[in-house]
Amino acid sequence: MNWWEQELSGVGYRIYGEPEPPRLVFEGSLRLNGMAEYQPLTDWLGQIVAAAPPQMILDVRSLKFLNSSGINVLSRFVIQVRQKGNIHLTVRCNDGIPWQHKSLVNLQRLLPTLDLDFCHEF
Amino acid sequence: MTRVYGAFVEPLGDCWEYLTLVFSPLTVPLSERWRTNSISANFMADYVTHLFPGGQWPLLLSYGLADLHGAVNYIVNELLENAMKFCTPDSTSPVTISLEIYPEQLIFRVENAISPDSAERLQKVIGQLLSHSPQELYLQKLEANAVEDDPGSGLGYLTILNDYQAHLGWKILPGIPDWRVTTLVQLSHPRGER
Repeated sequence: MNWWEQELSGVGYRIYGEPEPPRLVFEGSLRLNGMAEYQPLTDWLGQIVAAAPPQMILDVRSLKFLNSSGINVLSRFVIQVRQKGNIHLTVRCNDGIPWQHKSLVNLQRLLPTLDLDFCHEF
Repeated sequence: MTRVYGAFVEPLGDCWEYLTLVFSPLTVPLSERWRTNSISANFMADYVTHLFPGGQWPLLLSYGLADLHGAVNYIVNELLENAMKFCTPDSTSPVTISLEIYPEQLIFRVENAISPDSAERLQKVIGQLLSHSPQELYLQKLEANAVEDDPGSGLGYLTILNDYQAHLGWKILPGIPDWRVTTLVQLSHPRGER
């Protein structure tokens, strides 16, 4: 199955892929318990790195909450993208969600070419 | 002997109000309470941001409602996740979280039982946290986590220090059979204000 045809969902969250433009959309609140519960997402992100789309978007504009284990999963993905070297990554963020201001800027420290695209109204 | 680290303080004299939640492992095992952490964190964030109508609280004025709500929600959630993860599995003593409301700061105080082995590991983590710059340690940890398959991310305290510019402190009290640990977070005005 292509990476964009998959979906992960649970209580309070949904993550799905779209092929054009290639993007992964996060909705709701992600507060899973440790790296074990995040393993399906970690595996999915690993599949995207292996597929190496030239442009990739993480769309978190509707992700209201992410715990530190989830921040770890996104950071790991960004480091893998940096190591791969041929994927241009954009993170679409929401100016109205406080955790995104606080935490997503760290992703740019891991990958300076990453675009953080904050929208003001969504 | 009681050991105290970092910015730990006992409750201060000018505490305006406080809110305490107590979770007993005798009713529901703490490991099964994970899904309720979001309810507790949202409740505490709602409570403190609506306690002083009319903008009479200096801390709320300098943060703004959305940012203070977001900070309290995140910090309470991380503290509860840590307490539920690391408290002694068969302990009968409760996990307690208090939010102390002061004119110029919020203090989060979480207390839980901990095994002597976990207390040793915690003291090593505390030593690292107190001897490095939070941002340097945070980025190092992210790089290390990208190549290691550790069951825990180890990022909870680091995100509180680095992303929310809060101060952390701990009090560890040896006992028989369990030790007790109190973790404290001080959240003051955003950097550059006051």
